[in-house]
Amino acid sequence: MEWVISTTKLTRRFGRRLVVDGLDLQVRPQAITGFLGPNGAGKTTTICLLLGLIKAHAGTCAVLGLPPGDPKALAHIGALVESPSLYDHLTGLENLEITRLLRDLARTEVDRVLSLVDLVQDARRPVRDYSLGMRQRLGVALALMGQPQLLILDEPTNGLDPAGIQDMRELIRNLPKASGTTVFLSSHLLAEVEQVAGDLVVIHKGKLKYQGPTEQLGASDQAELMVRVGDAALAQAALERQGFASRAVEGRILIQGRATEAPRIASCLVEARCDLYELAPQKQNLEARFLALLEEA
Amino acid sequence: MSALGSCFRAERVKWRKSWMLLTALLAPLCQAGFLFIIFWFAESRIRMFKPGFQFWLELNFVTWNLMLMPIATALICDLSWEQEREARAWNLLLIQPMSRRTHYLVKAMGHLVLVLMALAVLAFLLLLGGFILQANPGLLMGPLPLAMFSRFLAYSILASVGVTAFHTWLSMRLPGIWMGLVTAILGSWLALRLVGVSSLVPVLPWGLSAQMAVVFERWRVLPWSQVPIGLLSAAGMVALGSLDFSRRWRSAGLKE
Repeated sequence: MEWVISTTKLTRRFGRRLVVDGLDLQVRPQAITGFLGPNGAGKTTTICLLLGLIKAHAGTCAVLGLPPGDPKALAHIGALVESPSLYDHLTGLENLEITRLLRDLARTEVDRVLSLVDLVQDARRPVRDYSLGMRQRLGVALALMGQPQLLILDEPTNGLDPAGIQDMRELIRNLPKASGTTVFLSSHLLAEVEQVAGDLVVIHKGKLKYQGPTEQLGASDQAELMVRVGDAALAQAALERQGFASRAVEGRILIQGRATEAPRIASCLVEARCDLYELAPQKQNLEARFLALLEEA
Repeated sequence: MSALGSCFRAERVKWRKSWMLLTALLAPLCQAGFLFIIFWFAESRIRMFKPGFQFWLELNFVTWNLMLMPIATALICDLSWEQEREARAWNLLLIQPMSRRTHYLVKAMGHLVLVLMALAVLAFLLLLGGFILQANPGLLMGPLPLAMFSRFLAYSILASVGVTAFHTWLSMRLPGIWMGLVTAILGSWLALRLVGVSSLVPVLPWGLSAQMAVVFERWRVLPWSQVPIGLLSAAGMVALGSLDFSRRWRSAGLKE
């Protein structure tokens, strides 16, 4: 199987509003693919389309080589869509038991996923007493039942505290290596996705904006060097005399130029008797590139 | 078949500590308890109606089929769908490796099992209450008419099927406890009015249960010949409900 998820011109409307607009999407096997876009970009609708929860109005889609919603494919897919689907009057254990029975899995599977999301201690408490973070972890545990080939997670870190986010990140990061799982991770938070995802898909207003390796999104043709100096005005004047274009940003100076020009810049600043604290290549960060993509739209 | 079995076992887990289970236990308890009190403490009035074990059974089975069973069924079905809506469960259940039709069939089966569970509780309470009432000689209870008890019970089981099939669909399509309760009471009343007047009665969801009222006229027998029509009508309702659920299950609580 070349692609775990593959869509061609996938389109979905709600009324007159085009929510997913001719989306061409490919997801590699055994990789973590981040699915990024601002709120309302069409991420959850796309996920619902991939899972067969709703039908596309145009275009085609294959998940694990089968049409969306095919029970044979669903047997190998775990998903957390929107907020976790939990029965509040039941315990965490009973909620997992429902999915275990539906998927005809061994009893040991419940213990395995409980320990993965660190909920063993609270498994026998009613879900109505769970915090938002615990509910989220239980939702992820439900998605992990049966070691799925494809794991689709929609905003999995919602409501988690920093330690919980860190744990979730580690868990997701290890899945492809540990069990060969392909992870399709949807989020509107770039910082969350860039730390775990090797590939990125960016959508905005239902349209594909970027698809490819994460590091390539951050790559830019316009290289910059960053310096931190004691007197920014003095430094900028000296740099200008040497022909370097520069701008001051939040106490730092960004200079247009490649890393090979760093020695010239350093000597220029030293000669101008400017206190130099830091000089480093400034890669245009993912966030800036991401925002630029959205602005282009 | 195994998907149906797995899905039903999962459905049973949802009953734990649920309002549906409580309804299934409380409905027969309320009815049998209320009628027991009337029998015991209003002996002089009961004596006007040819008292005895037969009257105890007739009154209870008719009350059950005309009132409590439709009401309990409406409550059970609505609470059951509401449980799924509150849990936003369809995002999870419909991505399990089984067809949507299976989910609907299991819902209908689950509701029927709960209604039959309530009927089993009622049957037990009728026997228990009847034996206690034998201690009151003024009620002339006499021996338990076991054959009649079995007939009434079997007929009540069959009469539950149509009502459950209808309310499973209604509560999915038009959620709300009041909607279910009003429909149950009006439906039962309408079916009762049509008994002996229209030949369409067995096709109505409450048709078979309404005909239970004939047992008060002791020379008449239960209309067993209408049971197959009632069951066919119920099967049709389940089939239509499952199609409706498979095609448009937004009403079941999922926002697209």
